Amino acid sequence: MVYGSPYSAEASNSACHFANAVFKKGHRINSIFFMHDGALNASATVRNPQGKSNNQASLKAGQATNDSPGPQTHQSTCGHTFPHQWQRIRAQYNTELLVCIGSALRQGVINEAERERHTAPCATLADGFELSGLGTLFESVIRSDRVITFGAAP
Amino acid sequence: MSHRRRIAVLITRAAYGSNLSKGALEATLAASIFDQDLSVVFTEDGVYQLLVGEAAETLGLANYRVQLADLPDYGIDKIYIDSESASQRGISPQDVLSVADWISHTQISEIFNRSDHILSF
Repeated sequence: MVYGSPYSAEASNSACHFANAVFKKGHRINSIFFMHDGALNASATVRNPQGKSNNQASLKAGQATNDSPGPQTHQSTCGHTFPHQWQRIRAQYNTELLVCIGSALRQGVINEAERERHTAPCATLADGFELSGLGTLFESVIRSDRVITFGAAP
Repeated sequence: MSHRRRIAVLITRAAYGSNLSKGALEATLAASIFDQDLSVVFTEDGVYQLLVGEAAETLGLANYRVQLADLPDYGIDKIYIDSESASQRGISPQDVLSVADWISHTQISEIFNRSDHILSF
């Protein structure tokens, strides 16, 4: 369970480090559940301005503006990029990426169905993430040996 | 579904100050649907959630104290308040909902030790 938003809290980084260590030891992670501010981990539009980006690379190449930034390769100081690191984990280890729908709506993280339902201008849920309820969280808790929480800042 | 799990829900935050406190209640209610062995422990600032007589409505917030009082109706009857956290905050038994049993840190440790999972909010 991840309660903190990427880049502004420690939770995402710690959770990502921990997940990688868990996989390295040969364990399985059924699902990662993003709740509270953690829902922002599922935002397709989150970027870390201090990280390296294609945008900066093109500025270096002498382009003052960049109309088509192309694929994003943002990197945080610790090497973790979000939401890409979660998407990589899902692709590599088939771990579900579940986002509490209540938290997601509050943070503006919505899929196409929610965009239509709430007449919002655009969908922002990153690929590979699913909006889900707390019931799904408990289904996952029940079938897991361990639940690890990466909490929110006090 | 696999066997019945012993789950301790740990509530550490005051009501309304953080949305996580409401999330904790929603998660507890969701868990009750799965017929698990649930214990709910209010500790640290979480003890404030059990105070009676507060009026969230005056701040334009939905009061969910009613739902806390109704937890036993959802089959959740193991509700505990950390007596040390409460006394540190000047809270006496007459100040809080009667649904919670007052327990010590030693008893909380025992609950954790016999739980399969601890969900902390």
